[in-house]
Amino acid sequence: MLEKGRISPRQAGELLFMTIFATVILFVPSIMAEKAGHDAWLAAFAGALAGLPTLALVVRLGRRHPGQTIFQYSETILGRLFGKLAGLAYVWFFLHWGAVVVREYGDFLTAAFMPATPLSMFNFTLVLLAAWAVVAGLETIARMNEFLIFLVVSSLLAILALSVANWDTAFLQPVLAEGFGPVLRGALVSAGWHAEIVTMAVLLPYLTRPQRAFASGAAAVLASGFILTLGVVAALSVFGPDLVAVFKFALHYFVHTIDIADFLTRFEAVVMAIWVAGVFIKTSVIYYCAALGLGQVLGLAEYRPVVLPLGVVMATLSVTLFANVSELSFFLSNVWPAYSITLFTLGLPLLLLAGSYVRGRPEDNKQAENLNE
Amino acid sequence: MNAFSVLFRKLLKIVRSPVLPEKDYYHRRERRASRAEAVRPDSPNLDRRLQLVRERLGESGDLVTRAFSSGNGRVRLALLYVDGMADRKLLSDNVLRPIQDDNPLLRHYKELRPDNALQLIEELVVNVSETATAPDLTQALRRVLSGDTALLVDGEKKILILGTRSWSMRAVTEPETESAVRGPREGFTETLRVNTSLLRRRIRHEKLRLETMRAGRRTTSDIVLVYIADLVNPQVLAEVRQRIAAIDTDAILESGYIEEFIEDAPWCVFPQIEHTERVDKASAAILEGRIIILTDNTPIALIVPTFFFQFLQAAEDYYERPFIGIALRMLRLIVMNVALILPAAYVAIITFHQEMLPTPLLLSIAAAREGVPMPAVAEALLMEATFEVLREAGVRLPKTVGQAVSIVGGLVVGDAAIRAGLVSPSMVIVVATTAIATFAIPAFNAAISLRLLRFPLIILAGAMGLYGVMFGLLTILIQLAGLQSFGVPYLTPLAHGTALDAMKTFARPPWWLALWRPKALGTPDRRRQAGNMRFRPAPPEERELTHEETGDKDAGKR
Amino acid sequence: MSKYLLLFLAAGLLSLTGCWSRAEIDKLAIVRCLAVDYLPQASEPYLVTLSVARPAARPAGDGGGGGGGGGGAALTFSGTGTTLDLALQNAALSMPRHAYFTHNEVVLIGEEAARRGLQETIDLVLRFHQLRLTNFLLLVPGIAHDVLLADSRLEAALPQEILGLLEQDRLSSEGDPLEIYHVLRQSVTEGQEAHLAVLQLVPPPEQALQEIAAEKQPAADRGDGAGAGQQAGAAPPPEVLSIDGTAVFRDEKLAGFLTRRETRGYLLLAGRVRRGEVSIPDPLVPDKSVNIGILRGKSKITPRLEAGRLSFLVEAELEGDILSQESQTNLSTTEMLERLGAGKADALKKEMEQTLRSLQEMGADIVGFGTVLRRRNPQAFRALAGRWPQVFSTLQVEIRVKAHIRRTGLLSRPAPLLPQQ
Repeated sequence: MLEKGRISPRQAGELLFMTIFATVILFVPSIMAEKAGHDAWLAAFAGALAGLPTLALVVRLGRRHPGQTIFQYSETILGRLFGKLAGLAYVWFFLHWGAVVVREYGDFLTAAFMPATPLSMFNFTLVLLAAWAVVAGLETIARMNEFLIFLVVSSLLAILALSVANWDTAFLQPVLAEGFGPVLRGALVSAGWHAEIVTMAVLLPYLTRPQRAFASGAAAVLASGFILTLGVVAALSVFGPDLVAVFKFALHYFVHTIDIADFLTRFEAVVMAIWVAGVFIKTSVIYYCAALGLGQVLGLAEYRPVVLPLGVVMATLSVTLFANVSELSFFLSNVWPAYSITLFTLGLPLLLLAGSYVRGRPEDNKQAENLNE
Repeated sequence: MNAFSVLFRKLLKIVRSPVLPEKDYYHRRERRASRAEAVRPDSPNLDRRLQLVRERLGESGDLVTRAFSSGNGRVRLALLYVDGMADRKLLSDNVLRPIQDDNPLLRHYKELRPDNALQLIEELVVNVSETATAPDLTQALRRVLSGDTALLVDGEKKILILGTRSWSMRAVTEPETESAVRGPREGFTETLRVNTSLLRRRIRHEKLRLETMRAGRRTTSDIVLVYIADLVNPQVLAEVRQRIAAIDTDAILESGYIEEFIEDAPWCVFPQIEHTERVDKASAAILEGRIIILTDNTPIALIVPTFFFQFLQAAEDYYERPFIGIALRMLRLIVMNVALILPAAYVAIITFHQEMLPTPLLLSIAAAREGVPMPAVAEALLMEATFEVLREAGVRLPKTVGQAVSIVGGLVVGDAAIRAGLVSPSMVIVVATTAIATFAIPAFNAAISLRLLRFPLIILAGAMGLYGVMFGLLTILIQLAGLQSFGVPYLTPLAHGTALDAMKTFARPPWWLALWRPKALGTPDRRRQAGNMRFRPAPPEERELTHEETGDKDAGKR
Repeated sequence: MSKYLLLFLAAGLLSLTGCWSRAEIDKLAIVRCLAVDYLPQASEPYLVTLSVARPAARPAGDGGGGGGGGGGAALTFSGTGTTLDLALQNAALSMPRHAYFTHNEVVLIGEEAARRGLQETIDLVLRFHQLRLTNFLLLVPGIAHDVLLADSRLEAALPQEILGLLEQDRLSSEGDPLEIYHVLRQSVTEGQEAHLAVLQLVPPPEQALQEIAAEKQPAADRGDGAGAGQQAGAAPPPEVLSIDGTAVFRDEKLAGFLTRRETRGYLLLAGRVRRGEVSIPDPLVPDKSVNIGILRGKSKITPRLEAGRLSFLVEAELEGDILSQESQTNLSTTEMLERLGAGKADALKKEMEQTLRSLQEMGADIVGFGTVLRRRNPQAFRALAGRWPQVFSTLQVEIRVKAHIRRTGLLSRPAPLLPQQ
């Protein structure tokens, strides 16, 4: 077994929450305002709910193959060759996803805080830090997250609370003026992010109580959806949908507008620092999944040797994947949701589950599941 | 590829050295020790034995050998003790006199012979409360060197050990490093027995265990594990035993030696084992299910397992009212962050994030910094270093001179430096605030680690602003989150703990609510006390001392 | 161990490469105010003027930069360019220190620049990470640069003086200074046009005195400010800053102005009126007046679509106190208060109608009737969206005002200085 650590369902939920949430709050509000206008907040929550089917899929798969990650049971289900291919596909997914996240992170920091600093600087330091966390293991990441989640969520809620004076909720109207079309288009974006709950497929066997996997994952999805909705409502109320749509980082501008008595103002840098912590966790989790997956697919005794090579690839990809910010934005709003949902967060899991049912369940699995239930 | 990964794995193996020393190590040491003892010569013959003692211990001036005969003249004996460690009055009154007594009516005068001397003397003759028999000279000498007295009988292989330890010791005084306004004034002393008695006096429970171990090839220091048998987690206890047993070093002069030998991550900056001089604090730890490690000749006791946040708690939190406990704990959390981050944050803000300053403050800081010849990072590092020098200079000096140092350093030099435009006043404020914050942390060893970490953080802040600070903090967090103290995560209870335990980081519960011991310690018995103990006053009309009863008849009329 | 090596390596890497984006605080030129002008006849038509805080410790005499900012703690630096950004860069480069904009709080836009549109200015603010969305955006009739050359009177520096005036303006509701993101969300929202508060230099009220005195004796230097001392003699007293009405935009371009009164009318229509004062005739003695404060007000705009004809209903509700009266009438009866309320409602309704007429002439819907319609009845709005300015110009708007007088100050009735009539 490559991972000896165990995390509690609560820790898993918190990890998944952070995995979804860290970047969703920065990028998604403006993308959704662009697609869904006034109804972006509806789209935010509807999209979040779309994370639940993915979760149900991977939890079902995990329950049918207890003690195995998606990299392992894909081999059980699809056979050695195709299983390994599917496993490698998932490793690529995590790697690619990680690179995209790192790129988002670097782009935000260079655009909003340190324009003179090269992108690669932020990307490489983040990956270095995450590499260290990954080597330290899943338990360490989970414990760090317990610490940081408090910081990230409370700072975000504080920001929202402080901005209430600037709200003009009339911007949320008219509701559904254009019908459900825009809402669905916006929801797809939110769904693309919340389908990242597929990470549960890797974490599930390491839960102390795997039977709680669905509950903790659902809590993560709903919490993220709820806070995202809150964030979208706030952004819309402060700026109006047309303005939010043109902002690259709505949250950043949002913090700009807070001014409590000329004193509590201009603290984007603090928000940035806290957000850095959030993305660090997100990157660590994704990175960990990629490393563990590669280790399991290659049948290594230890995943740690592949951490650094993967990191180099991830950091390099993050710099070279997109030529400029516009490509990244286009990718995030138009390509990523469709790509990740059809292939990795819904398509392949569905295929695997079907395969798993076709193969029938091995006897020992049945017993294990009965125990779980 | 394969060679690379093998190399890498080896590297990793070195990096992630196993948490436990190999078990074999302990046994190897034991074997070596027993081999060494087996070859030691010994003889039942008294003269030969005394000669052997002289050979082994040399001509030590404090070693006393007193050969004598029994009252009936049949048996030759010798007392062997170290002057200054054994009670001479006890020896002469209760050992020498009764053995040499030549009153013919006495039973031992009649019966004492070389073959029954040892047993008879132990049972009948000496008036010493603690006796034992040692099988050979080596064992006996070990006891003699600890202050006991050996009674050698000519022709007898076994040696009678008399418990005569008595030496001048420091009185039990208030611990200077951990004084409290409210709470007992007793602190541990250098004498192990006194310390164990202090603990025993507080916890009069039959399950209190004091388990003695030894370490140090040359010092053979006594180490006592104190715990309550049905509260301590057996795994943790076994772990502690094993780690202490594995210590094979020359000397244990202070518990700090043990701390470094048994802690989980020796390369970590943070202290992983809390220590205390306070008896009440040690007792409280024992009652929580922890283990106290007492070491002979030092008043500092170790507490394991340790959580990080213990360093931010003081005994007094539990004696003052709970509200004060809450306020103090929050304050210390803030203080810890200030001590760690403030100079770095200041540097980051004035070199990268000037927007965070309110405009008037920005203008005045900018004005104050005009003409300061170095960048803010260098200024901060310089000032922090100066402060460390001042502190270090003050610590070792006598109190009166130490004050002079701080006056010259703090006031004269500081003021002159500002006037000369070498440093800006705002930097002095920041550094001084940080220094004060550092002193407000109850545990000195934790404070000193934070102080150390300040320097890399300042450098990072100067290089990358708040991003750099966050980078530094995250590296620290990776460290902390990865640490375990005897199997318990170091960041418990904020990470890993139950919500109830996590709350205790910020507030101490009132005593009637403190129902549970910390879960993460894995104690077999978590429940601390009965529930529902909050006192609920009777309704006013049932109160005992009403106005009528106290004789205040006019009360109603007013 | 190698973990630490890694850490030190990373730290070293960071500090080696770390000189980007850093600036020592004492090497910054802290810009507090930014003025944008467009000079059509010049070859480099854009003129940007920066008002920079002079670090407090430096004596006031040394180093007067570009424009020479008078004796205050602010200096001005200007630059011209063929585009706004180039002009800004030139202004920044004319300073010996690094221009630092995060503490910029006011952006002034000159009349000519405003006629060309807000797009350039707003784009600059949004794109540039140092400029903040909470900056106030104000319009200056004429040349904005000139305003920055004025003297601060109470505050140490001009930008502070401007900010103080903006803050003070809330008490009168006769100007509507907006932060940039408010302007933005207004102009971006479909069915609503933007507006800016007007800041300008006006002759001081005391000038009336001087005009009278000028005929009798030579003008005396009243020592109004440090800068005035140098230009003594017969020069008129220096002009003072004033928030004066509102500039109305149509399609991002300056379309016209509202007076102070009309501005209050606008705020009443939009339901954003804060405080103010209105003077109405005494109900019993019509030639004497009663001054009534406006405490808070809200309004509700309802679109009405009857038989295909679009009209709007504005219902405003106001509260206020009696502030002062000229007559001896006892106003503290319920009946009197009601009559006063009606009078106040009437006066304010006239203001609102006047505003509406002006706006309709300009065809600029800054109140947001279109937005209201869009929220209430998206289909109806979509049909009109293309020609909303025309629709707005001929829009029927019914205004209903309800005003309550709650208190009469600390007096129940006027002190009987005159014998009772």
